[in-house]
Amino acid sequence: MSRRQKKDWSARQLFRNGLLDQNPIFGQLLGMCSALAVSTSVINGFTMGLCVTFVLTLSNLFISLLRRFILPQIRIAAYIVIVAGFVTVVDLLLKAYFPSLAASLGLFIPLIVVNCVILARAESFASKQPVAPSLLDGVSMGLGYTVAMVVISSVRELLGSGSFCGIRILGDWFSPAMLLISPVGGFLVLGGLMAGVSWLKNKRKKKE
Amino acid sequence: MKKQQNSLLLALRLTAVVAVTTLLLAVVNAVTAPVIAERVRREGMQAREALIPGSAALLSSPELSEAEAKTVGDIYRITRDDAVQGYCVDISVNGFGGTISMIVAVSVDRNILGVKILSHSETPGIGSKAVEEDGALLAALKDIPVRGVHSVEGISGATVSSKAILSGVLTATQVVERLEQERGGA
Repeated sequence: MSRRQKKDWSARQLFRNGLLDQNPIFGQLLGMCSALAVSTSVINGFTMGLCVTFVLTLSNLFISLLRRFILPQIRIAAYIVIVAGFVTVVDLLLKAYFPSLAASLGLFIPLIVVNCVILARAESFASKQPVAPSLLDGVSMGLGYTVAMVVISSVRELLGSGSFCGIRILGDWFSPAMLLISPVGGFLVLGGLMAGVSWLKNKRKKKE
Repeated sequence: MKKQQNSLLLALRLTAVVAVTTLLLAVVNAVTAPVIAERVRREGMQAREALIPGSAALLSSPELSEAEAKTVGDIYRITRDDAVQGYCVDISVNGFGGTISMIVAVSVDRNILGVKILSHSETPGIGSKAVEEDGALLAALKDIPVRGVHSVEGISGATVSSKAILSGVLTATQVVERLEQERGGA
């Protein structure tokens, strides 16, 4: 019935995929909307990354566990329900115990439901692979997303407000480039970093 | 026949997934709901206490016009030593990026004591200038007579946000004016 790909997934390969080769943001170009919107400060970017990692790991785990129970015709609906469930759990926990983070991330937490990183991993990986690799895939893709978010938001916060993690580190001589905090700046930084990552990848490929 | 069975199976399985997810959410909600409610209540209380010290009593069903009902939330009458000090009015207005919710404090002698922004989603660095705690707009709306609202100027670049806040403050003063007249008449 299901054409399972018999592949040996080593943990090393999976982490390499998530963090570098198929990094959700720089490699697969998934989850751009939240990446642009939330990356105005490092704390926001990092928390968003952790929330996505949490949801991605749990949804991968359960979708892999249920991969025979969920029939192909209803899979998308079932995935969305499972993902939405975990996202709501995160949303409620943040609101209850980390209100300031919940306030600054705002609408973007509920929107993790439709973050395409999560559906993409469910559809292309967790629904076809055994539990252990799916779990690892969730963790590594989540970490890849988090690292990318931290890199983007570091650049934007440092140049856009002259601070890092809310602490002002550039002196008064530095006038922050407000542009980088605005959505336009988000696109510029993302594009620049993406070009940089591709350049590095290509350089490495040529060497090999 | 077989096809029917198949769709029944699909429906049952999807229902099972939904049921389990709902159960999980019910449990999490049961744990977090009281914590969240308590936090919201405490934040509101702290904000009101900072604006007008005294004991706050929620007014039950104040009379509001249709337009006012859209922006005005809870109204608290603040008393200290048996004397009414003023009112804290919860206001929600539409700013540039979404709802701005705030508390406007008006004293019985028709002064605006201050405005506290509870939440907003104005553009960072642009519209947000109007809602900053130490910004010029909120400073201009502190300890001024109610009549003075009309002469408060908005922040340039944050016109929509400023106007939204000013209109919310104006509504609050109108509601308080009426409440005070009713109280005086009674």
